Amino acid sequence: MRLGDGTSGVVVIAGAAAIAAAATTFPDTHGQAYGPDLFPNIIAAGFVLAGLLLIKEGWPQPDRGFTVSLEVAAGGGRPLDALVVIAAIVLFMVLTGPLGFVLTATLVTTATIAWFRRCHLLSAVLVSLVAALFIDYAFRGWLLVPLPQGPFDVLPW
Amino acid sequence: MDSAVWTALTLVFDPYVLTVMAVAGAFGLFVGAMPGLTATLATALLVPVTFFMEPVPALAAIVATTAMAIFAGDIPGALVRIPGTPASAAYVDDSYGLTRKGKAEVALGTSITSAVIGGLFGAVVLAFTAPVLAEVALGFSSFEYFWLATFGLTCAAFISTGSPVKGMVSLLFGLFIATIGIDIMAGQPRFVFGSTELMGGVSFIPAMIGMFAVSEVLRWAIGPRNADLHVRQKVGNVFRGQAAILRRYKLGLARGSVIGTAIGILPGAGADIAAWITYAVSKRFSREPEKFGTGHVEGLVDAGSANNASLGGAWVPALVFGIPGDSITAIVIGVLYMKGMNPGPMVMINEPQLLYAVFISFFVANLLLLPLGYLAVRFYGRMLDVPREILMPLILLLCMVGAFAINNTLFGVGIMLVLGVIAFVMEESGFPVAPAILGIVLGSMIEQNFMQSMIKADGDLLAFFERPISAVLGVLTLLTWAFVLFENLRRRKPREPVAPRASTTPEE
Repeated sequence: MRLGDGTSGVVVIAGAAAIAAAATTFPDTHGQAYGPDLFPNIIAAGFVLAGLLLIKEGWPQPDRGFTVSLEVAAGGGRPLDALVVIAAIVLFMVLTGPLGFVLTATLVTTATIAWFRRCHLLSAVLVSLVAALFIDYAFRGWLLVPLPQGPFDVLPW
Repeated sequence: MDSAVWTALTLVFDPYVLTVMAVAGAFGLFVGAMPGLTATLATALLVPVTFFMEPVPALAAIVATTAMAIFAGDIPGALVRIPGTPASAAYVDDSYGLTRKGKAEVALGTSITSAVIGGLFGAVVLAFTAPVLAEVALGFSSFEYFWLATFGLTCAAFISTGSPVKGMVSLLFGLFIATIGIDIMAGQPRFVFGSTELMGGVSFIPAMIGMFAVSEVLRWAIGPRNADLHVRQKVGNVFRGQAAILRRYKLGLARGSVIGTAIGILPGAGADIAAWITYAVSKRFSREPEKFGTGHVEGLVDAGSANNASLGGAWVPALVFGIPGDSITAIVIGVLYMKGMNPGPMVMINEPQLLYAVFISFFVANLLLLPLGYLAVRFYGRMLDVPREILMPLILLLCMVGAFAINNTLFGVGIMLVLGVIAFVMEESGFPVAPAILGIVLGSMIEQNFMQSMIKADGDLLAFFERPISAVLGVLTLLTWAFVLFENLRRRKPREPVAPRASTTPEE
């Protein structure tokens, strides 16, 4: 997804307005003239200036001005494949708790490899399982990161 | 011998640290040699592992990874005409041209030897300038630090990017992300929207993995896939004839090392810019400029030394002032903060052995480059056989585990996803990502120094210009902003579109 310069300027100014609006809710610090809203307001002012300059740059460009394009700069154009990557991350977040890391990582990685490579399912499962076990050993067994184990607490490390 | 130096030597020459460096170096070689994967991505993937290490092996691992990855980018450049990292793009026509003439050994041997010499030069400059500058930095107050950080970010946003305005937006975005969480001065929660997990702020590592690695995976997924690449050339002894080449182009080698180190020290400009500028200078002063781009070794020597030299240079402002010179040292600064060490001149006073350990790691990493680089060249054909369709899902899995591991919460994975998608759209729209990362790392430091200075001066903005160094830095910063604004308003015609990956990201 590509935003034209003018569109980017509008988005940036809208963001600045949201920051400034949220900053008005911060209470004053007792006994200090400069509160927690000062720095965010300076950032918002910078955004407004940059947004106006972007709009100025985008104004005379019919093709790159106020546009939103689903094209990709490098060509190719497979938005569905990008959605698969995003879905893989979301699935990982949802399933890791109930299923545990090894099973979730194997499932998600198998699905992603199978989608991209359109290869034999068995080889995708094997690669994913070995990778999941190795990462689980490295992070949980060696670095002591408490990766969720789920209901299958059978690994020796 | 100084006891701190001796302690640093024993710390680095520990078998564990040397093993970590060798493994990290092999990892850096692999990532750097894969076309499309950058040295910054290698560092981003490495950081979750270094998080659990002591400071010395953690920093040594990052030094080894980056030194190897920047060199490794030359291998696919020479063999299949696709630079492995943007830092190798400047001279890819010459290195591939040599391969086409049947001189792949010359191209790759020159890449290794000039990278080692440039890297060692950068390490020497780092070792000698950092302690001297640290003495100067000890006299700095919040005013100087505010201006120094602002000037560094200004350079990062304006100098190295295609569109200064877009660099500014990226920087402001990073600064905004840094304001999320509890305000350091007043203890007020800001932009947390009721989330207790946002109270502690946006964790730097998930943010960095999202912006550098997930965006890369997304770009690969959506973009064109290269057909399977194969290496057809047999590569023999790459070191044969190197002594004669280095002797012949010794002046260019020295020039490349000096320019590379100087550009590395400049905030925001990294190895890729060092290589491009050095290549242009080399061509300008060459006796045979017409041969450049056709498989001539001269530009390869100069620019190949410059990109590795810039790595050492970039650590100078990072270690001395806590201001990163490029996106990789921004990650290093984030690692130091996470380990409870405030990068800056006090490190030199409190933990000098750490600084010396970094200097020694640079020397060791560059010397390790000789055998490891040689092996990487020998086995490169097999490395290329790893299908990208399997590698990318595995990188994605590492990203998710890394984002989880820092706070042991899936919230980090969510941060990674959101910022990864934002970074992808930003880069597609021509916005560089590196200034945003610098903003995230330096945001709280800038705000703290700014607020302290405002309270000290009771709101008198002229106080920001009363001390001499502060005044010089302040005027320089304001002049840079005024110049960019003036140029933008004066320009009637819009700039030509800039390829988002080519010149808008100072990412190695």
